[in-house]
Amino acid sequence: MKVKVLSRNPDDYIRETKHDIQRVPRNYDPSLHPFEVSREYTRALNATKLERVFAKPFLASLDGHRDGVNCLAKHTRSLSTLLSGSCDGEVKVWDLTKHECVRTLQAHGGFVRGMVVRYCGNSFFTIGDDKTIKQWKMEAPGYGEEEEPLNTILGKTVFTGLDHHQKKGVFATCGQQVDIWDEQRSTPIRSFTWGVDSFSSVRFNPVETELLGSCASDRSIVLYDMRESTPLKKVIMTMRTNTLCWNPMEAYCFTCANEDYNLYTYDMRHLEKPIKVHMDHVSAVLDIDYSPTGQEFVSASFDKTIRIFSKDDGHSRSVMNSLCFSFPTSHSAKRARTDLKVPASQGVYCF
Amino acid sequence: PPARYWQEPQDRAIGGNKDGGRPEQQEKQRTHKAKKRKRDEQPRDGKKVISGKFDPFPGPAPVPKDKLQKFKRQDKIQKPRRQHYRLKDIITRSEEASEMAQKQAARFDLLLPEDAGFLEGDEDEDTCMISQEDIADAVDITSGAKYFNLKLSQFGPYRLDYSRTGRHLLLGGRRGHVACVDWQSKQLMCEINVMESINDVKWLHTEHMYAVAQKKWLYIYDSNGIELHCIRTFNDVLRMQFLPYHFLLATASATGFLQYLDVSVGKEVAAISTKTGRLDVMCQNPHNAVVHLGHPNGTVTLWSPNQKEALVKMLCHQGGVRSVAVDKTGTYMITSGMDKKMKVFDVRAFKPLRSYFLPAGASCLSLSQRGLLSAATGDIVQVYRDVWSTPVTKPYMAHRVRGLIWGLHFCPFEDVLGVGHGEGFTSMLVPGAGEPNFDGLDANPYRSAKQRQEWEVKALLEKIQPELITLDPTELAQVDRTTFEQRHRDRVEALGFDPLAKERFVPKFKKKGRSSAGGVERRKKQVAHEDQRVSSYFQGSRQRRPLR
Repeated sequence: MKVKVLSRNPDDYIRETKHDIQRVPRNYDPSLHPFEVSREYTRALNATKLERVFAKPFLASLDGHRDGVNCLAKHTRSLSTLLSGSCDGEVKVWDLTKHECVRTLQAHGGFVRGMVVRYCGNSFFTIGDDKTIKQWKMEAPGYGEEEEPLNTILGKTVFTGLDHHQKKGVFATCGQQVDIWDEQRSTPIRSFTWGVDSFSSVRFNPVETELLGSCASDRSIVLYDMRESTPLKKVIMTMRTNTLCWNPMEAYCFTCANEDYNLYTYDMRHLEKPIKVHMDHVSAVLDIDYSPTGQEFVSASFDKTIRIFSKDDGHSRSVMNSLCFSFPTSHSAKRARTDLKVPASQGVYCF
Repeated sequence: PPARYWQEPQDRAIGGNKDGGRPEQQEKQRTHKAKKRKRDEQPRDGKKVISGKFDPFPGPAPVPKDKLQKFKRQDKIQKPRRQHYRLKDIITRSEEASEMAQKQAARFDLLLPEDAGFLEGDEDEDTCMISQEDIADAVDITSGAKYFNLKLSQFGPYRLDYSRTGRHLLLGGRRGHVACVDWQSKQLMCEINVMESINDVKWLHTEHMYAVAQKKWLYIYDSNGIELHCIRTFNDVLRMQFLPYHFLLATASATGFLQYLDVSVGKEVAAISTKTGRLDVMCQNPHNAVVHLGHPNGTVTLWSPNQKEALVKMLCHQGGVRSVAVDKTGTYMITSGMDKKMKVFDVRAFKPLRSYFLPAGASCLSLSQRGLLSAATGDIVQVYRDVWSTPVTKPYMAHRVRGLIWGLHFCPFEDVLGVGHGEGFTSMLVPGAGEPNFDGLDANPYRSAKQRQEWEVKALLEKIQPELITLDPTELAQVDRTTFEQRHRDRVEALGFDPLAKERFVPKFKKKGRSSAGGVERRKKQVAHEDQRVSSYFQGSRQRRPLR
């Protein structure tokens, strides 16, 4: 007779010394691994639940403002500095690593409508309800010195938005028209109008630095080229846009936050149709900012939530609720992981 | 060029556009441009060989078809036709990834280290006449040591269970003797007498805990013999089955109750009153975790913890059912009854396949991992090979033990059959019974304590909820058409019309006399056959309108 009984040599299956790794022979036969579908389903369900368990987005709350916070500005060179402007004209500079306020200054008499840090990082601009544009030094004043702006420009009308060029000493404001200012002059070097009398925000394109976009009160978005004398293009939507933000990685894409609870991503070359409509908010979207990677953006809305969207997804990937009522102006820091700072009624929250 | 050297070269005109033109060009180049031969004779498929020769075996090695069939999963699903481009893309990509994984697994099959055992008799010798002692003498010492007898005549006939890895053996005598042994090294882990009669013993998920169905209640012991739990809600338990991927212990009681206990959290998941009397015959289907119960009226019923009634009731025998066994792929069920018959059923289609007559009937049945069936009659064990594919005339092996057989169990990854009888326990050699290649991440007989701990944590995380126990375990992977159709029907009722139905084509009436009767008819004819075309995505929900 011919006989063979299954006998395994333990030397082939057990490791020789405890410094080796364990031997794991594999057999992918499906009959040895039943319930594939159910086990995979259970694994996916557990992964989703654990992801939510470990998601603890709230980092810190930066308290100190006496009145509601109206606007935020990112420092262009430092990752750990943040500026916030409040409704009583106070501007605070925060150190994010220590969650402390480094400097406080009284910038304006009324609201601080907009703030932006110059590209070199040495000074920043603020605009207020008192029709002034002030430029301040980034360093705190020395002992005995008074807090004085570097430059003050008096305008004729109230300004509602401010943004600075990425490379040149030029900034843009919007109010009744979009003005381009040179830092050395006290009158705008160019003004753009297109039949609208009120603009809510203006943004420079971070990649194609000569381009600008602004949101007007006649439900339109107007695009400008600084080198031209007239605006470039206009797209009129169903409802008014509150803010727009350019994608820092794609030169021609921008996303606008609309009153009709949606966000629209447009390609500026084809304004007839948005590339993507991002729907998830249940109330007007007030502000939007892109992550420096250009893959995601964060939006804040009147329904007290902040949502993070991926740039080519129609729906948000995560949502954060705030307990207090917030006028959100949300920004993302320059780090790879998105840090959000949201001005709430009395402070700034970091996520 | 042909794919393999033994194949005839294909007709050049029929060959693919890449390779078909090449040989002709080559011939021309050889005759006309003899000097530039080296540079131009590079093969077109991108692989540049310096010598200029062609690869006689181009492309990846072919995978044998039977291996691909073994790893085949679901069929490709019908993809949506128009407009759902993204969904179609997602489905196509996932199917491609699945096919790639199946091919890789089929290729890896070649690398498995061990081969299965076999027993072949000489020309005049019958394999069923070969005794265990002969086999034990003929094989090596380690395998020979796997044939042994334990003489335990004091404590009654023995029930046995092997752990999932096959290393540990649990023996339970009727008069209360429980022993757990590492049977390969003959090391005794624990030995106790529970001072009560025992109906059944079962290992739980590892070799550290086992359940004993004692006279009144269900007890759980540690592998050191310490009593961990006494579960009073499980009373008069006669038989137990452990569902390893659900961590459920299914128990059948003498009062007709089928109860499920989740051993990871210690909760009773379901208590089903089967209303069919004393439940003495039980087995599980390892493919879909459905419990099969055999009844004295000849029926076999299939149960899941989600329903109060049986999933399926099958009439199998004319007398009572004595034993049931299901194979590991969940395709075949073998039952033996009081009418001295042993029947093979296809348990997916619920059809009888074969019927054998055994002169004394089989009291216990057990199926091995490779499809060997062992049937116990009195004190004789007979092992049959290939019961479902070819009609079997004689057993593969036979062995006579000392006492009346009470329990029969194949050891998972070994060629060993454990027999519990009135005089103790016998372990007999059955070449070809065990699966030669185990998966180290699932049930590893050579795992260390650390590996066992890691495996336990992962198994607990992947524990399947009892709600997913159904007759078809891949039901979750199907597209849920019934819910869509139900919702569509509700919408049609609510709206009053079918929003997905295509509107009747009415040709536009052109002004200024350009719409003549013949022209209108011509335009209607262009869309005449669309009704009969299979162009709709959801055929069942559309109503076919008659063509005018």
